[in-house]
Parts: sequence; C-alpha cells; structure tokens
Amino acid sequence: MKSAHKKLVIKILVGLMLLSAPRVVLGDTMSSSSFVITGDDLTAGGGNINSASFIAESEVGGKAPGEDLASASFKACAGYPCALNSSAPSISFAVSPSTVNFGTLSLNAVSSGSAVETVTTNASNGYYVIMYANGEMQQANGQYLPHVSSHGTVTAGVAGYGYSVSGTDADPSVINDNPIPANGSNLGVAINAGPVIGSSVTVTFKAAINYLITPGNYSQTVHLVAVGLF
Amino acid sequence: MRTDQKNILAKILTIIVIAVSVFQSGSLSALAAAATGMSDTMSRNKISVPGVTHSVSMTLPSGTFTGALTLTYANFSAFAGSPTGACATGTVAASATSNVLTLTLTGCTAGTLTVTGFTGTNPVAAGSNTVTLAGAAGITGSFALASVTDDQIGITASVEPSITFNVGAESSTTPCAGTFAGNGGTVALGTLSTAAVTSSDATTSIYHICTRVTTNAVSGAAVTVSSLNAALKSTGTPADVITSATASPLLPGVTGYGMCVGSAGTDIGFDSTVPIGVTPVRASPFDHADCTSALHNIGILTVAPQSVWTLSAPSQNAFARLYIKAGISGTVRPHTDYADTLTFVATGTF
Repeated sequence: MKSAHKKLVIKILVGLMLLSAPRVVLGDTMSSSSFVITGDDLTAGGGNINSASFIAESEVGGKAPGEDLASASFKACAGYPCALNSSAPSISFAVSPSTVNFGTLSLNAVSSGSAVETVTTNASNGYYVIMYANGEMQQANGQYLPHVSSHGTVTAGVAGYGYSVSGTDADPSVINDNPIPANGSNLGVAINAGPVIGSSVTVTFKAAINYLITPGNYSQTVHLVAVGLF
Repeated sequence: MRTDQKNILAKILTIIVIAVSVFQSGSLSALAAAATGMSDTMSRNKISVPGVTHSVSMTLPSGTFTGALTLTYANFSAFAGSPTGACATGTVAASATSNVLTLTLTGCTAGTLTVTGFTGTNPVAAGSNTVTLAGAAGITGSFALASVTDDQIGITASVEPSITFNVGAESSTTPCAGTFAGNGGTVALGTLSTAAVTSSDATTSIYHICTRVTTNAVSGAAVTVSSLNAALKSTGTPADVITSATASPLLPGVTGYGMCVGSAGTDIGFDSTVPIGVTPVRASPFDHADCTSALHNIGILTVAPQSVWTLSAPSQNAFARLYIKAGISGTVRPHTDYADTLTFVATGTF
C-alpha cells in the first residue's frame, strides 16, 4: 500500500471512529434506575436536564462544569458520567401532629381535626401514602362511632366518623368524606407520579353524633405509610 | 484504488462495524439489567418497630434471568419469615435473614417480580434508607425506604351523657309525636257522668298527656309517675275522693280514676336513626292492650312512683301518649273541685 493510501485509510478509520463512538452513547437512553436525562448534548452548548423536582445544567463538550446543580433536596454534577453516579434513591416522610383531639363532640356541629403528612423523594415514578386502622373509633367497651358513608359528608346531628384529604397530591379517589374501617385495609391519602419536594397532604378527621351515641371516651389510632416508586 | 487495497479497506470497515456493534450491544445489555418500578410497601415506617411486613415489587427488564438477586436493606435488621416470590415467567425462591432478602431466579423474564411474606425491624434512626440490588442474576438497581420518628395519629373524642324529657298536656286533636315539646299543663275532665267513662278524647276535647325522652344512656331510661292524692280529691272537701284503681275496663256508673298508655300503634314511637334506637315499652299497670279514647282499661295511680314506660337502650325522641280516665257512680258527692296532680320523672341508666 502506498503511503498516500495508508494515510487515506487512517483518515477514514479515524473519521469512522469519531462518528461511531458518540453514537454508542447517544444511541442509548441516558438513564439509570432512578435518573433520566431528557435533554443532553454531547458536543457543545449544553442543555437543561429537567424533571418535576429539579433542573440542572448539562455538560458542554462532554465535560462536567458542575455548577448550580443543587437544591434543598437534590445535588448533581453535570455530564452523563455524573448522572450515572448521582441521585442516590431517597425518600423522606413526616407526619404531624401525632394526636388529634376532638374534645367533647357536639350534637350541633361537626368536630374535626387535621394532621399533615409530607414527602420528599426523587423516586422517578413518584410515591403514594396510604393509611390504615386496626380498630374503630371506639370506647374500651367496644362502642364505636358509626362510619360516614363512602364519598359522603359528615353532618351535624347525624352520627358519622370519617376522613378527607386535601392538597396538591391528595389521592383523587378520596372524594368528600370516607369511612375508616377497622379491618386494616389501605386507604388512599396521597399520590404523585413523579419526584416531589416537600409535598404535603392534609388529612382531616371528622366526627358528628346524634342523641344515641353512647357517652364516654373514644379513640382510634391510624398508621400512615409512604412508599416510593423507584 | 487497486483490488487488494479495496479488500483491505472492506476488511477494516467490517471489523469496525463488528466492533461498534459489539460495543453497542454490550452497552445495551448492561443497561437492560437494571430493574425499574422498584418499591417495598411496609406495614410501618416508624423507627425501631419490629415485625414490620414487607411487600416488594419491581419490573425486570428484557431478558431471561437466572441466579441470585440480593436486596440489601441498609439500616434494617432481624429479617425473618418465609418469603414467597413470583415473576412473570419462571420461578423465584426466596429467603430473608439479617437485612438481606435473597432471591434465586430461574428463568425469570421481563415483567413484574414480587416478594411477600417476610418481616423485619425498622432502622433505629429516621431518614432515607437505601436498598441495593445485586447478584449473579445480573439485575441491578436501588431504591429507598423511609423511616420516621412517628407514623401514626391518635384520634380522641368524648361524648357526654345526655337525657332530655318533655311531658305535658296536649290538645286531643294533636297526637303525640317525637316533635312534642310541651311542658306541664292541665287535663280538664269536665263534668263526670254516671252514664259514661270520661276520657282523654278528641271528640270531647279532653286533653291527653304526651311524654318524650331522648337519651344516650346505655341501659336506657324509665318514665315514672306519682300521684299527689292517688285519687281525684275535692279541694274544698278533702274527704271526698274518687279513688284510683286498676280497672279492666272502667265501666260507666262505676267510680274510678286512672291512667293508661295508649295501645294504638301510633301512640308510641321513636326516631329512625343510626345507630338504631329502641321503642318505648309500656309498663304495668298502665300497659293494657285496650287503651284508647273508647277503651278504658286503666292502671291505678299511686303516691309512690310507678313506671309508666321504659327504654332498654338509647333512643331518640321516644314518645308515648297517656290517657286519663275517670267515672263515677250515683253516690259520688258533687263538687266542682275534684283534682289530682301527677308528677312525671324520667331517669336514665348510664
């Protein structure tokens, strides 16, 4: 092979390698189990990496400038290599307060009290929060407050006990007031299909009585469970 | 370009294509091993709680997986139980010890993999706890579980004991009902006759007595009556009385005075509510089957309190209609001031 031909071959090889190498990366989804880059740029100029809970600058020229890639609940560096190693799965959950006291129930009004649950997670598929009870709103002797009907309304003078939810992530299946059965079945509280930062849902418990509700002290304990979907 | 040179170039290009293909497929294979949709629904998020149940779910990527898949739960402990697993196609054997869930996959294909039936003790500190997937099956990934200081809400309330009572004379044209709200009053029997029994009656406009009780007393309530004189007594001549006595029935021309609880279906009742209340039960001697404006089976009124009707449990707006009746013989001395005072008391048993 002549020298000119050899140079030509080498140039072709280099050219092909330059063309093919980036495709190996660009041809794949830039994701891990917990992170997806929706807009990336391997050459120059950079692009934004966006999701419901964060915005990050992408790399320029394949490097990772690593600036401004942080928020209260998220830190990242720029560049695909960084993305592969960043965003460790995380979920935090809080419920407050831990007690709701209606006081003395009235024949003339609905008694209510609220608690707030808050979730922060980078789970790519979001999260949900459920609630359950293993007992009625009842006295030690077993006398309990009747359940409000599903999707009903707790009304003054009509014996009924239940809960409702409100907030951006409030479970849409929980319409109006709903009963809290004692059989431990899961009740909807909150749901979101993407990462969230400090998403709060208020759970409001309501009770009303008529003249027939047995006097005494009533109590119930409900548990809330948060599940991230990574 | 000569033929041999073309062949060389063709071989080089072939090698490049193969190399690129291998590189690409290798890359895809590595990514395909990452599970998605990973979650673990626990029964409790509270720190340090033992015996918390777990329910794991994830989606396996394309491919067929055989071998070990371990899920290591950071900060959890005391895994126990007999977990069972399932995948879309293939089998899953599972065991749980310490803080590791070990699955042995055999021919599991893409789709949902679930594991239930094991418990553990939650982390001692609040925070986010990573679960890492690894093992020879080649499935990777990680997800997180929350542990919180408290995950429960205690709800408390109290209900006070309650009883309300109304008793009063009611127009003879107005039946008693759960809405009765009168208090006190007079039942004027008018001029008694030897020819007929005088009774609370719409046709004679002689009032009846309505009683109404609402209570949440667990053991119900009782309405009692006591008579001031146990008779209709002349105010001016106290020695002249029309003595009360039980009569079944009180007949015209016979001296007598008494009371009964109406026996018609509409004479007693209560509100239909949730929870369900109870109906009033007439008490002896005022409970004869025939007590209407025309049927005069009466019970004796005494100074000592007697039960008129009772409730065996809470009831809302329980009511009963009472008839007052009197008759005289030809020997009853004439006066215009025969009278008696009846005092009713409702007592709840809480």
